Amino acid sequence: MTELTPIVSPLPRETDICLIVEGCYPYVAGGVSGWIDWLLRTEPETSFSVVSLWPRPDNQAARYALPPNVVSFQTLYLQDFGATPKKRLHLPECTERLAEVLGTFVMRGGLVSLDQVIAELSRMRAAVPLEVLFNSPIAWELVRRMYVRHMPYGSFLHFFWAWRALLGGLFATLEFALPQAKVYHTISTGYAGVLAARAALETGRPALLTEHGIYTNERRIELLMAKWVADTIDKGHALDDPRLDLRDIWISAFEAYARTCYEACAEVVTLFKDNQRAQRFLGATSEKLRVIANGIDIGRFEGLARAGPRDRPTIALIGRVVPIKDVKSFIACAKLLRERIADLRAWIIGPTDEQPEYTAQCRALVSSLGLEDCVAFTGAVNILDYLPKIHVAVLSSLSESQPLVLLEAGAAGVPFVATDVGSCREIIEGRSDETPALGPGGFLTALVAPRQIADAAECLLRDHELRRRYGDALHERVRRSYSSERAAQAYRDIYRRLAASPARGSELEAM
Amino acid sequence: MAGIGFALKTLHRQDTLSSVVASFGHAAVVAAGPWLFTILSLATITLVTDQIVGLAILADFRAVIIYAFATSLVLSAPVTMVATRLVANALWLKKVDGVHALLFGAFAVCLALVAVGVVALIAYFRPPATIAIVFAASSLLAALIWVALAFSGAIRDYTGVTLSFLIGLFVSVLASIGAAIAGYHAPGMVAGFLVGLAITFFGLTSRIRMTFPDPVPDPIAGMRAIIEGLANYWTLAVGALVAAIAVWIDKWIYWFSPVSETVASGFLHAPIYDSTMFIASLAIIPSLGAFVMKLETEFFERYQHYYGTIVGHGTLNQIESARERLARYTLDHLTLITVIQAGISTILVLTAPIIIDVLGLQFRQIAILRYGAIGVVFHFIFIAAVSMLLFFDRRMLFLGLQVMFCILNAGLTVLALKLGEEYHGTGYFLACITASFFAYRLADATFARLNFLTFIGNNPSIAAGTGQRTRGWQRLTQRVTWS
Repeated sequence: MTELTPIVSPLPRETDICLIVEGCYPYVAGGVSGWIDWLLRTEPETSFSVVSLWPRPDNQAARYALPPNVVSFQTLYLQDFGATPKKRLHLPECTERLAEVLGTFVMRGGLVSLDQVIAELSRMRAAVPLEVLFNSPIAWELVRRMYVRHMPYGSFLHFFWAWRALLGGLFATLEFALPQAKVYHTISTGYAGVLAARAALETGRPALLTEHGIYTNERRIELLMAKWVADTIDKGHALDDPRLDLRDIWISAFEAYARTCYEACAEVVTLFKDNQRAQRFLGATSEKLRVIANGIDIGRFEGLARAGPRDRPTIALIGRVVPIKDVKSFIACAKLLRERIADLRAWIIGPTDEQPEYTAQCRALVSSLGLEDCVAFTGAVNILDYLPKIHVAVLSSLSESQPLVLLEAGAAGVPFVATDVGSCREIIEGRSDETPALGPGGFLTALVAPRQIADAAECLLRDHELRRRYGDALHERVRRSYSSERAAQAYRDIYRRLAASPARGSELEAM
Repeated sequence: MAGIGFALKTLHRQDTLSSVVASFGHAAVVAAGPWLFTILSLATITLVTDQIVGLAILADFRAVIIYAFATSLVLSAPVTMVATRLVANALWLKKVDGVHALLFGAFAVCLALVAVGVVALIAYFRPPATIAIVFAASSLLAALIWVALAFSGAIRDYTGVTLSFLIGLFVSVLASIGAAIAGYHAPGMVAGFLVGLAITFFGLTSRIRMTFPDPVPDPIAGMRAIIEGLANYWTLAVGALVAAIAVWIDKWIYWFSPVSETVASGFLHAPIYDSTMFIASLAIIPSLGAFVMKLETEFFERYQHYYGTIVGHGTLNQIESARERLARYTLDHLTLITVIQAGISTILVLTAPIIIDVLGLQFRQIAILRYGAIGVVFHFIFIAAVSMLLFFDRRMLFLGLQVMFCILNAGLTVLALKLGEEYHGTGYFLACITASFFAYRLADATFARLNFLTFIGNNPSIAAGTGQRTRGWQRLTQRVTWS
């Protein structure tokens, strides 16, 4: 963590790459932010401008120091609606048309639609300052018209807030002063994706998308789990009821944003093949799709000793103690396994302070199962000190994209038992086009299946030869396909290729 | 990837439409009570003791009570208004632990403010020591009553309020008459009056303390909360202060005019004007009572229905019809009560000569009584309309209207004085007409634009600009007061 407040003079000159990130770097530690930090540092010769999208000013502190090749940094606040205009203004004539094109864009997306929104907004801006669209009687008239058009039978309260949040973010994105760059690289769809699409439209320079998790899926899950979204329309069993509820509006908006971004981007990169289904579903064409797996610094793990047959049998879950990692299944698995292997040791390696309530539940489960002598929470530690003592690494997560711990354990030759999520299958079993086929590096299990995890781990703990073979296979696969140097080279190539591509008039004319 | 995710999670927390204002706006109406209480007790004592003690002593006694009530009402107004809002907030949040401390805090701040006023008035008028003492005692005790009354209003303890006042008033009247008969002069009568005030005060306070039991309330924390509240809700505090001044300012101007008289103890008064106006003011009691009753029942039901429709995920059509129902009902009833008020005032206008005769007042007071009686009709409209504005948390408008009424009442009264005797009373009359016109227009516009105001114009979750200014104020005062 650093005290640095990233204020670098904005818009100094054209940079090689404009990196557009939403809700992470540099304000959140770990995960995608860590990856962005890595990307910036592996390309010291490339100049970057960074645009960080963040909900609203909240004294957020930067968790990363900007490397010297970042020549400009700007924060774009999505939910900052500006002050209430002092003057009374009249409803401009273009309000109706703006409501119409906004509706179309939020429901369907696409570059043509985005272009219309930009045109109508600039017409509107010529008549009134855009703050009035949120904080004035004109705002009321606009939201009223959009409500009547799209959801006249739904909760107005929900529609109102949804309208504010959705269009507030959209307007902020469309009003933002774009930095000049040769390539616009967005790290997600969503508003970051819309900004990249707008950049491609307005500058004619290519846009590039790297998606770690599928943004629209994450938002969909978030919305389905949100208790505050009341289902106000009783759709009963009629599946073809055309009426939209709030969830539908949110989801369709995020899908529309994604569709626009996929359409605008010259290349769409993701971490593993499974993600591409979702990308294709929202209109990303096959020729744009690419996989660039995240890599790790293999050298750190070379030469680590491996746990031997005489060492205390040890399994470990490496990850933060949070519900999405399903630590409870791991504890249940330890319970089953201890009945079969008496001196079993089960470590939970990772920070425990993120969700103290969940950690407390996990600790309570350990003591209620009488596992105090078997299960230990290590907290945040240096993984290198622990890997040589671990026989089998376990990942019981409910969701992952491309877990780095899997690669790190693999680099240390520790076989893995993981749930079949994200790219775990690709890493453990190898991609179908792997030559020569290296064979499995562990086992895959279903979600929330402690017994399956226990069976697989027991198998690897008892059969020393199998464990060695699987560990070797995983080690070799990680060394070949998941080195950070390999990933860095892949991005270097894309950047070079896209930066060299001739400037087009605009994305629309090219179609 | 948390960007919009953060926003999604915080959204539901923003659905806090200011339902808290309901109970608060309500109590603001009850706050008209003290004024009525003042008039009522003075009228009673005047009527009863008129024959027993001499006019001079009675005038002395009345002057002390009027000065005590005026001082305490004006200087306690900001505190009682803000305390009422804070209690309403606490009740709405169901966090009542601090209410008891808040009561003591409000007592302390109020006493401090009123003490300053009392000292200033004693220094200016230099009354005899006995008068000064009873004047100070009754001002401070009255201030405590106004605070306690505000809390009782906020918790809707109308039975407690009514009982405490009736018993207190009864004892006050008896004791001061007793003192008069026993031959004690004005100080003795005031002391007798004080006994009743004390009973009212203890009655009110014990009801509140029973409602919010707290063995060790922290008065310092309460004071701090009150002072922070004064900064936070400065529009309310200033509005309440100005409102209290506005009601008295025409009398004050007469006290310092050529028609004023000096009572034995040194205080100034203008019986030709103020006692006539007090009688006219009595006429507002039935309509204010009817208004409060309607608020409590039918208005409140529609008010809650409107916000309930919004929070209960109604469609815009449903919200609009709830708004229409609320608006039409309120305006209809306001009109109805105004008509009744007009009727009462008409009777007062017609019977003015008889009333003047019965009370043994001067013939030239008939015209003043008539102007006052008609002014009261519009004063009622003004009070009803500004309390509507408070119900919808339009604090700036509330403040603006009170300032306007105050300036009009002062300016037109000065003008009326200048124009001569036949214009006495027209200042207040015209001020009421003008102010009520604007207040009504603004209340009407508030109802018409209620949906816009609820969601955008007056939504505390949206009005970031003003919110920040308030927070800045609060920080400033905290630093000044407590560092």
